[in-house]
Amino acid sequence: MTRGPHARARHTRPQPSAMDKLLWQHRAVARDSLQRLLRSPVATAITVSVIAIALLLPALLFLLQQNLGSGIAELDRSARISVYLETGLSDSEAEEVSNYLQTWDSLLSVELVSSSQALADFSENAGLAGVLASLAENPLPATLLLIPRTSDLADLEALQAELESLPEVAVVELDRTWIARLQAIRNFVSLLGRALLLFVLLGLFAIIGNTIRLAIENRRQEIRVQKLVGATDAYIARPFLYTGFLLGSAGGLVACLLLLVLWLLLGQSSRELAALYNNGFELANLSLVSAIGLVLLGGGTGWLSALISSYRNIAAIDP
Amino acid sequence: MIRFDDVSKHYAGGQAALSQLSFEIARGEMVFVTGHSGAGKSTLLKLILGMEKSSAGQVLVNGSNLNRLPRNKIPYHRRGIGAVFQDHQLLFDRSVADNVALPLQIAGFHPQETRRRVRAALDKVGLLSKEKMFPERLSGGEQQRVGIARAVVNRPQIILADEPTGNLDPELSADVMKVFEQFKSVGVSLLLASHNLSLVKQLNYRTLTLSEGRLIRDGRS
Ligand SMILES: Nc1ncnc2c1ncn2[C@@H]1O[C@H](COP(=O)(O)OP(=O)(O)OP(=O)(O)O)[C@@H](O)[C@H]1O
Ligand SMILES: [Mg+2]
Repeated sequence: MTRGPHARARHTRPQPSAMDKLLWQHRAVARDSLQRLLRSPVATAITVSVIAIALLLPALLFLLQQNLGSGIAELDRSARISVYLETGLSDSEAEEVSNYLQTWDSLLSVELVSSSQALADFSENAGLAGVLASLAENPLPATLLLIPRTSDLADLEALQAELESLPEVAVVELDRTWIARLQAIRNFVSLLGRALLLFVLLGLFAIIGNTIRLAIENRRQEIRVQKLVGATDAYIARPFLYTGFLLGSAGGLVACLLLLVLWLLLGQSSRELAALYNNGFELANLSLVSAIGLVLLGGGTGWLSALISSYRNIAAIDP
Repeated sequence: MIRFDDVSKHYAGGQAALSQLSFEIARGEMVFVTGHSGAGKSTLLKLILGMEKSSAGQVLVNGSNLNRLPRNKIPYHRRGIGAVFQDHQLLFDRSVADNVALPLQIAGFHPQETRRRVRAALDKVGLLSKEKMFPERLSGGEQQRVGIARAVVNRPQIILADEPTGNLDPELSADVMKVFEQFKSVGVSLLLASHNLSLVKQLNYRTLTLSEGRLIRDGRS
């Protein structure tokens, strides 16, 4: 019952499609929301900074976790797997096993310590040459020192099982305490990041929701009039949803910029630190995908908190 | 088009603002509502617009029962009604033209079409030259006419007007009445609340007279 038959008779222009209507309205509304935000630059800047700093904390933990991951990978190259072969093997048989393991992609390097070499080392170091010389046979096994490519504990354990299944292999010793410790730290940081993210999102809901509530309060009379001339709650909410989205994504963008600044500041000293440890470690920055993710996370959170806040507060205004 | 069946309205904690009202307004009919201050004229219009709900009885508008209309359908109900409010209800942070454009923007008209209709509506009430001004700068009568332009701009099927000529001199009042009569002539139903008994008498339309919320007379003045 928007228009009567008389209106149609006077007005012969074809009606715009619902899609076109939505498009005009959204364009106008988005522009209006942006203008309103820019009209009070100080308040907007404060809100955006608060959102940015809130988002910065979990993003930093996320980066720390990633850097710990690549740090572990670097450190692991000094962590080895020791493989003790069966004692009965001859030096050439041990050589064969070593050559076979060289072909494995999962291993970075394979170093063979033959049983005769082990015997020589042992007698030199321990001063037990006499005792050993009296034995008819060499009691020491050949040993393979392996450097694995992976740093993941589960992958290492799978590798260990695979090595143990070889018939020539007696015992596989994995130096896992160091790895397990680092992995535990990494898991802890990751968990902390996720917990923090949850709290930050709740905080953002409160901050943005309250900003929207105040904006609605300021435009109470306008909303009353809009309702009187037939605006739906969804129509009235639209500019506030844009406001929430714009605030949130601006916060995400500023958080990305802050991360970039931090990275530039820390990058040099981290390289120096890595050089001291003779380590190729390079401080990782946020990837482009993660940066876009952070902006969208901010925007999405802003939109959702505006949605919740505006529906509650707009419905409460009854003309 | 509008039908009241035994309608009563009590405000929370107050006495009856309307009691047991029954009447019907046809398509293309123009009707006045008169009565002393506090007789219930504004309340009557608010019931039709869905701003208030009746305490008893049925209000039917264009075949739909407002008591049973879900909350989310009320906006669409209001889009078919052009309302002039006793306190104008203009927005002071935007120009006259933007105030009048509001119902069209909400209905999703193209900006160009909106502009064309807004100018036509402002022309009808003699305010075309002031379209860029802000309502604050306008006289009471001019503000009232902005409200009238906004009420008719979407070519509604029903026009409700609460004291539409309250601040207007006789000449302007007559002009505004002519605008309303044009709408009546194309089938719009109009319900006009007015204190101005001489104007009501002179125009000689059907008149509902309220007294303390009761309908005491229904007929030509
Ligand atoms: N929101 C409200 N809450 C409580 N009582 C109200 C409310 N609105 C109106 N009333 C009461 O209802 C009665 C009718 O009011 P209404 O506004 O309909 O009168 P009216 O005929 O429009 O008067 P006027 O000519 O002065 O505008 C009055 O007694 C008024 O005090
Ligand atoms: Mg009144």
